[in-house]
Amino acid sequence: MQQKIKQPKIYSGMDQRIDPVCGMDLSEYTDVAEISHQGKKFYFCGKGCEERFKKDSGRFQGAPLIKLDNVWKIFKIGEVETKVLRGLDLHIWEGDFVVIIGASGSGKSTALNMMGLLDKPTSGRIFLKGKDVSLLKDDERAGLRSKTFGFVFQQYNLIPWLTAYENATLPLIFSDKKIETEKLNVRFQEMGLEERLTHRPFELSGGEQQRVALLRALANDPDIILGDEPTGNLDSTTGNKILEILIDLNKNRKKTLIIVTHDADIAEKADQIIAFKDGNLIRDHQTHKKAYTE
Amino acid sequence: MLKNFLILTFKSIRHRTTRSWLTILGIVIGIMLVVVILALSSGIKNTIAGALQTFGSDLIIIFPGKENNPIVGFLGGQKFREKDLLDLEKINGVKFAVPMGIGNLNVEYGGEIKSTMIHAANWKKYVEVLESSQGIKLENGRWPENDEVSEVVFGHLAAKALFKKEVSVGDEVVIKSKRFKVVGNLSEIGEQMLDNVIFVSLDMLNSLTDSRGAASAIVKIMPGVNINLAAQQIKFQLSKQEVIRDFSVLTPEKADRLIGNVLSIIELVLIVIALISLIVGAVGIMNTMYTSVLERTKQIGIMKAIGASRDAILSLFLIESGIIGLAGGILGIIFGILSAYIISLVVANFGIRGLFSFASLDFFGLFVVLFLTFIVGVVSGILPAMQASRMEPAEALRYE
Repeated sequence: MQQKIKQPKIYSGMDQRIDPVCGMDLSEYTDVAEISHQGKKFYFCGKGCEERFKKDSGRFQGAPLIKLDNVWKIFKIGEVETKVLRGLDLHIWEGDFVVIIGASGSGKSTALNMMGLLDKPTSGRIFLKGKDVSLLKDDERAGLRSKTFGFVFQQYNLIPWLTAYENATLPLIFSDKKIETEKLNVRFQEMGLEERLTHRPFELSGGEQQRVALLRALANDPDIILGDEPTGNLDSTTGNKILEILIDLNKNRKKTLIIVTHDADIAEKADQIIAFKDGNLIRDHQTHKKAYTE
Repeated sequence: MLKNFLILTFKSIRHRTTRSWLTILGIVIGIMLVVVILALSSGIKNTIAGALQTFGSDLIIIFPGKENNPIVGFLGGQKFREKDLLDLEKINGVKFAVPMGIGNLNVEYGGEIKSTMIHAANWKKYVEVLESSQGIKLENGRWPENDEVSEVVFGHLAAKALFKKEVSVGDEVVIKSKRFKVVGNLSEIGEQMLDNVIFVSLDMLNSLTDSRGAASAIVKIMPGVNINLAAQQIKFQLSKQEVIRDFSVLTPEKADRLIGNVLSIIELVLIVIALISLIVGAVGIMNTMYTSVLERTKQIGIMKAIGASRDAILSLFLIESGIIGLAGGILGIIFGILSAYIISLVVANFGIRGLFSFASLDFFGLFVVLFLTFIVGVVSGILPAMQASRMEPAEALRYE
């Protein structure tokens, strides 16, 4: 299986040309302009990435926070193979608010799962802070997930038989950390949940559930917050509140925020937009934003 | 960590109350059976050992049926001719033979009717067996004068506890619509089964039940005679009679061995049945755990996403199945003891006492049972728990 899908990249005699900002491999394209910057040659997928690079070029020359390198994901159901990710190359930079857009089935959620170590690629490599994490064992990945990532889902995904408080502190149990009650109470207050501590998910509104999920995502104080359509199930007012909290975490607490969404308004606020089509990036993401949001 | 895991487990068990209880019930039934069987076999052993102890060393007992199958002989209702038994007295070394009858009849006293075990024999000889061989004396009153009078003697407990009102010498009881005068009651033997008996003459019993013959016999041998030799001679002589083909001649020593063997076989069979039901319970736990892994696939995905390791998921499921097993064990022991107690109360009404003993269920025994159920729970949870722990979080999260 590995052999069949591991397709070597064609460079037609040229050097590999990688967009330093989004990580897209441009080697196959013939219309990519070569741009000189401070004596070095760079290639960009489009205006958006080029502008970001020129604004602060130093930032994009080290190791990205997350790097996907030729990642393939193939789901096999019976005899039918679905290639969800097709040799995806992608960079996520520390502190960015990244929005991933694309039609359903374009592979954006799968890509998010790859970044959050929730899924293993069929082939290809994933780097976290320069370290290859694609070959880590299950438990090492679980440890990294609990320390580094906080997840927020469209369906909130709270454990139905636990109270709001227990749900929010669950990651601490799995990382065997002490629950600091006072600190937690402050957080619940900040989220306006101080009277909902002992309520179970079915007794909470959608917005409240998502705030509990947010507290849970933040329990281990992770560097990266991943949201898979976190406002998708909420009305616009509630959704906006959740989004405000998320953006605040990005701007004021320096958390890297990666959100998969269909919402054009959210995309508007991002530092970096990444558009997906057929399991890979589309060139010039910024201009495609309209096409893939409502 | 463990404390938190326990709390998590309890919450998830409570979330699926009905299913959890039904699974626990499976184990409860198994353990209940084990407890009842242990109590039953130790009770029967005690009773029989006690009965054999009171049985004199100069007595030989005769009953129908093969020696290796005494229960069938007793239940078969076959009877010896009295004459064949009395002829045994002609054997050298035999002092006398007492043809015995046993029955379970309704006895009425003070408006109450109780089914009671009745022992019947020729009074003159039986008194000697009771007094000199078995050391059983009268507490009050006297022995009946002959076999024709309508007189009975009560065992110690039969007099004291069988009826609400204590039966005393001089009272009248009705057995099968015939009036009997209570002329005496025995001192305590210390053996529930014997203490609960009412004694009448064999002639009386046979006329009450409209039957003839004797269900068994006790033979008393003379002092200094080899009991095994006497038993062989009795066997030879009895083989000449034509009423009963298979019969047993037991010396106290032989009876002890025989009953021990039979009991061990019964015990073994019952324990095997109990273990099978425990295995069924274990399969129930496994089934529940598989269903709950399937049901909670999404939650497993969530827990893994927020940092639960394989070991954590494995532990959660193993603790859960272990607790289900343990809860089944605890409830099984409670209900087992309770039902043994209730059964013993019910059968006591039919004159059967001392059927259960909880002596073998000491703390160590209970600990072993509880440990066993915990292990059964954990073991039946291993496969489902491993399946849960191996799930890829993204895959589990997609599950609806």
